[in-house]
Amino acid sequence: MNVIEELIENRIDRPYVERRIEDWKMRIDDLYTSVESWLPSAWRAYRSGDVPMHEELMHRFGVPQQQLPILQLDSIDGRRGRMEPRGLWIIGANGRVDLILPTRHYLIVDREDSFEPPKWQLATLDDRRNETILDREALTRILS
Amino acid sequence: MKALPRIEAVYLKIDKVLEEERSKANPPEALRIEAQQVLNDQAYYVLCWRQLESEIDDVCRGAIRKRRASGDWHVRRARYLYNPDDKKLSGLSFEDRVALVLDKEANEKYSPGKRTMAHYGTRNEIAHGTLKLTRIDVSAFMRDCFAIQAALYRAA
Repeated sequence: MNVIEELIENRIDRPYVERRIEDWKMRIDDLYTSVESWLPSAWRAYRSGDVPMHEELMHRFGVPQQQLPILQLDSIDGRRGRMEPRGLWIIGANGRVDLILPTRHYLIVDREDSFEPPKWQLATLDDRRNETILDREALTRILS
Repeated sequence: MKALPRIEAVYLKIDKVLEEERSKANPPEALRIEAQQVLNDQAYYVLCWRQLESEIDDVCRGAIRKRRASGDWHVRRARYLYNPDDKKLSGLSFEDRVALVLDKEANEKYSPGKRTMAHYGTRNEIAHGTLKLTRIDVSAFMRDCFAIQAALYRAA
């Protein structure tokens, strides 16, 4: 099922929404772990701070607000950035995490269906149709 | 759908300004700006949808004309029910227009026909007053519009 189907069809209930949130938290955690392991040596990452999550379907099914972690990024030359979750239920995507660097804003979007292993795609805020797979090589390129 | 790249360029410009404002805002202000982005997404979604709908109509008219010109009466006869020159295609519903040019029942999980009808459902909700409270990936939708367009021309 994708987000359009979830929003249009009446096949979902509170337990389903809760499972989607748990899955989202796990995907974010796995993504941060991957990014930490892919960082160039001049960079370090640490989890600090959080962002609230309270989306339409959570409101509809009475699921309380959640807090999602922010991944802070620091480089030895003083550059700083952060990754923060921006939304799970997005029509056309299975969640979005933003990577905000001093010079550029990137969108990291999961293009897979609900509950599938994520397919994280990277694009800039200015050129969103030009996506590349987020991997060690792509991360190194944008952090260098 | 020639206007889609221009529409996207304007959308990206507006969303970028909102995104920059949001990143500097305090939490309540950030929520207010995000609500504006949600509304802006829907306005552009419907605008893009109209481009796709118009393309589907054109291909549908072409398909009707082509079969009307067939030498085989068995192919020709059903198409006399619809006038391709009529603005509303003789009352042919959108669902039926799609059925004439895309296979909605295709076995493929997300066939172009199924995706078109899914987008149509979302578009209907928005256009008939049920505004969404969730973001729309407008660029992904535009990419899908072009993929659906390619399928239309393959099927035409």
